[in-house]
Amino acid sequence: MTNNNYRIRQIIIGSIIGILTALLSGVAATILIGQSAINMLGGSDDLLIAWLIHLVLGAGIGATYAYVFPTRSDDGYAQSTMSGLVYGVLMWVLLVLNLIPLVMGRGPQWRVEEAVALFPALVTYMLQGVLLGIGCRLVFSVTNLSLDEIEDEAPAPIEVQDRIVILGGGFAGVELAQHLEHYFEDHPETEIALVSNTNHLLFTPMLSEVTSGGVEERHITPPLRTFFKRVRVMRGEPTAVDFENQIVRFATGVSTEPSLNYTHLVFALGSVPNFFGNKNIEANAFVFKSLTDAVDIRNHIIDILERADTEPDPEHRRTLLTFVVVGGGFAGIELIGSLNDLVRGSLWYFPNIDPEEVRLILIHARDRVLPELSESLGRYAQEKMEARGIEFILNARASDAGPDFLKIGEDQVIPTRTLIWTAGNVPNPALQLCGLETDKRGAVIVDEMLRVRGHENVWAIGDNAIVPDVITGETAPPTAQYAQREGKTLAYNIHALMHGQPTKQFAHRSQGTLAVIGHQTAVAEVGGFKFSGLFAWFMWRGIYISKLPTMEKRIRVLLDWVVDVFFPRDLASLQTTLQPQTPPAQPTDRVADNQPAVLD
Amino acid sequence: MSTTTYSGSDLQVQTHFAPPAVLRAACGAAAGLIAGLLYWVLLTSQNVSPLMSASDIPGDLLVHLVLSTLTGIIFALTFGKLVITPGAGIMWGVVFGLMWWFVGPLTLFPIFNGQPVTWTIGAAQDAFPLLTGLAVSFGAAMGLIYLTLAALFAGKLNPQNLRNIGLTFVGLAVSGALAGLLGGLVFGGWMSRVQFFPLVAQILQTDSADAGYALHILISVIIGATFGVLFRADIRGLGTSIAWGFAYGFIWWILGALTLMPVFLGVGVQWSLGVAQENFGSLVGHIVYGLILGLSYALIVRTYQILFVDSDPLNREPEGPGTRNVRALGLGIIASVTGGLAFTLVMVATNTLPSVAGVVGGNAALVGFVVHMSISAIIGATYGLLFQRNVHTYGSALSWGIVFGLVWWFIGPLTLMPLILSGSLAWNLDAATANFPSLIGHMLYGGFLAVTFRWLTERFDPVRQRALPLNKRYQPPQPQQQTPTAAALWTLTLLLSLVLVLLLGTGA
Ligand SMILES: Cc1cc2nc3c(=O)[nH]c(=O)nc-3n(C[C@H](O)[C@H](O)[C@H](O)COP(=O)(O)OP(=O)(O)OC[C@H]3O[C@@H](n4cnc5c(N)ncnc54)[C@H](O)[C@@H]3O)c2cc1C
Repeated sequence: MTNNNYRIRQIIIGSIIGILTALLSGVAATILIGQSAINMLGGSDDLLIAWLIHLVLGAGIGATYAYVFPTRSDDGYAQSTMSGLVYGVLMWVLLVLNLIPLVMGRGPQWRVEEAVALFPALVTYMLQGVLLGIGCRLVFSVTNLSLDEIEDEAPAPIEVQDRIVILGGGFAGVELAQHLEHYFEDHPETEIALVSNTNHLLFTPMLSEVTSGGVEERHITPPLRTFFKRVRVMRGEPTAVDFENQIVRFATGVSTEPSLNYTHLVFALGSVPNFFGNKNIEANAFVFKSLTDAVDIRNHIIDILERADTEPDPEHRRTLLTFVVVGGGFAGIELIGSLNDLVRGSLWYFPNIDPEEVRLILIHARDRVLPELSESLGRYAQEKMEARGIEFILNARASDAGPDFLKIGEDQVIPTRTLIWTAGNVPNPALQLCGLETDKRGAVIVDEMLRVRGHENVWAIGDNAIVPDVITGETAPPTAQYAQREGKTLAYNIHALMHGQPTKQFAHRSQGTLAVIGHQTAVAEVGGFKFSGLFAWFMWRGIYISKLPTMEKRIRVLLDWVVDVFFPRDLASLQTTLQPQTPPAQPTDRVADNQPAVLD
Repeated sequence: MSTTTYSGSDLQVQTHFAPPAVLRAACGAAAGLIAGLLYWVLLTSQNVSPLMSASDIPGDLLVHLVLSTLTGIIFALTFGKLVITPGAGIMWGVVFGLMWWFVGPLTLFPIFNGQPVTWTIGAAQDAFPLLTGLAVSFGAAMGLIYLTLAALFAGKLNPQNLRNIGLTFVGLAVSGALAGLLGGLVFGGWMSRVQFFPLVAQILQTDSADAGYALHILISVIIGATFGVLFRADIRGLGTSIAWGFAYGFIWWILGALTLMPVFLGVGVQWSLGVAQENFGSLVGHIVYGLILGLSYALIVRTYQILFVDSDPLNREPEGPGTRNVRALGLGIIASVTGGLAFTLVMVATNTLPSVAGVVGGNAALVGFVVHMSISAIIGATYGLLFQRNVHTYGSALSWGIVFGLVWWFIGPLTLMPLILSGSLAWNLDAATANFPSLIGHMLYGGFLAVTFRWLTERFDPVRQRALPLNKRYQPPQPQQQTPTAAALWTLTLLLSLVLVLLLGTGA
């Protein structure tokens, strides 16, 4: 018996018993006290109407009682009697003291004298409640309607009939899975499988705080397994897709490589850093995309500070203390802001480093940073950051790099040992591996329904897709916000498709953009309004902490932030082996033998 | 013996203790007879016949004893199985006694005596001495005696397997005693203000207030210790423990203030309505004592468990208390909105919002409303926190919610509000009468709050979660399964509010 069926039957039986008990108690009250009791119970001077009201109320009392106190077969009569009694008294308060007088236009009877006058009705209701308790218990046990009949029913093994496979557990994939879980709540036969090569969702907006040490790395990586109720989570990478037979194969590192049949397949693999073929830069630059990247950068920076503190040669020291970030988008700006905080905020502990020697440089290919934001806000951000000691080199292209230098354009050379690359991202190459048709950047093109061109049941969302937005007429920008919205829309569409309902187009108006540009300052553009500074920073923190999945991680990050306010910077490097010292070569000796990089 | 066990991390609940019916009936008969005698003896000083007959009919005692024996048998056959601990014996006994008061003195006896049954407040007030007597000296005594006899003859009741909470009897008694000490200190503050101690000291044949104070503290400690031992199986969490303390405080008001103390002072039991009304302040004191006792007892035991009892690594909750408690707090606050609004109706009708505004020094109704809703939110949050494990069904959520509302009637308008507004307690009949609408308001509040809370938390119900396919191997955190005694507690608290109606009935 399903839960609902059982409930309905229980309520119907409850209301019948309710009428009977109302009848009994009414008769008892009439015999013992007289007709006036019924007038009191029904709240009317007309005896017939009073009886009618009393019986109707009785039905209601019975029905709600049956719902509120579902009996278990081992409850015993004494317990049911008690719960009935309790319920009777409650109903006296609710109905006789409040509802009936209210309906009869007398106002509730809340004063002692009024309550006292209605005492006989209380005794009647108590009697009625007791009878009701006993009656329900009796009938439910005879008719097998006790609570444990459904509670103890072992959930029947569920046979998977349909399977939705999601590749990639990032913002897009997770959002999709969560909404699918909701849409398919009552369809356990539809399996939702999420395959990702990391076992967590990386909350990229806080990644730069991991680098600066403001937030612990584990605190922005809620494990995928913890926030789903029924999604099947697998760690692995897709190796091939058989679109004909609807099978996707994986590499997971187990003895037999698994494969899954799918009804619907979704690509949400995100993007990967791109060096535009520049091998020298690729070999010498850090990227800033994953958790390990953030941790590596942090270790490296602290390591550099340790070295610089003991380095006697001023030339070498300057090379060590020059930090370069290429790319002025969100990631680059937030990163250099937090690096600035980390480096300058730590100098107190490195007495041999002269603050004048520290240089942080951001190199960007266009004439203004933060192209995601409006121009004035971008300029404001730049001004603020310059005031905080960050140098900007705009309209510049990195062309070559080595272990201790970066070359810009044809002739400008910056000696540095820290080069971080956030300038170019391309859609995940796994798309092509799986045999999907892509554009020249490597992205899958989808229609407004988010369906991959030429396929019935293959979809793509997030950074790895080119998604047309019907509102703006442009393609959706590669941000977490859009990735999530696409996930939400797609969940709707897949559910609609499987239930013969019309699908809908992807349409989303940006709710706003925010970026932290350093300690206690941020820039924001929300609903057409621009603002910046401390307020924006508070807003950034408020908004992002609420977007961080799981309560646990939110509390952890909050604690990190609080601790960060009250305690000094943590300067522990997780690097335990000493890096061999490579003598800095003369940058000018190098020949740039590869093509200049194309940025952005 | 039939037992039902719910497997869970640390609890093995035995819910039924069922010797054969014949044996139960025999034990019940004996218990009814003994308790009936005790009741008769105590009642003689009150000039009231247990049968409410007008004249001194010599056959009364015989009829009374036969009736007592019969009720004892009925008790054993109905509630007997549920009496699995001394605490359960007392609770079910009291409830049974109170119910018998409705059936006997209010209904059957007038018929026997050829008088009309009226079920009015006047009749109930006339029968008040019997109510007090039937609750404790008959009911509670019968429950305890029944359990002792049944355990003796059936011989299988082994309290050891009730529930392992890692504390020995001594540990429980010490925890209870400590908690009792705390409660006693608070109650003592009021008693010294109303010059109560010299009266207490008369038991020791002196009138030194210090001696009275010492005796009071000693008694508080002893009552606390018995609390720990008696209800060890029933107390499952902070919230329920408060409720148990509440009920226990009420029982001790009848047992201590109205029965034992006058007996020790040589004036015989004082069960009449008038004396009970005079002792109203002491009733509130006992109840506040009980609340503190319950809360601190549970805190002590919980702390002890956290510090010294090994947790079970296999059955750890996947969510962790942080997530769960924060959610309970938040949902409690949300749920408080419906309760707070329901209560507001009462406040508007009785025009008390302006006086609530007095808490923040204002007198506008709107200010009062805001203050009221804020207090509601805080209480709602505590409900969520304290009773989150007790909302397995709407029924239990509702019952605990109403008990909690009632508890706050004593804490709020009678204790904290007057303390804040005028610096003194309002533990007296007049204040209570004036606050009667607020009593209804509090109960409404508790009920709405609880139902809404249960509705909000339904999504997280372990039973529901277990049905999800992925979770089939995952054992959800057990709801705190009620022991059957919980039902007795709910009933008792509701009957307590009836007693309040009786007490306040002439004050109005
Ligand atoms: C440092 C940084 C800061 C950012 N800050 C912001 C910000 O403040 N606001 C904002 O809106 N956006 C920000 N973004 C952009 C935002 O992170 C992306 O737009 C968003 O993550 C896109 O979501 P997605 O699901 O498409 O891809 P991703 O979130 O990248 O998810 C891809 C998923 O696929 C998995 N995966 C990858 N390859 C494979 C494979 N071969 N097999 C299996 N699984 C695979 C990955 O493990 C990952 O779980 C930032 C990005 C970075 C890097």
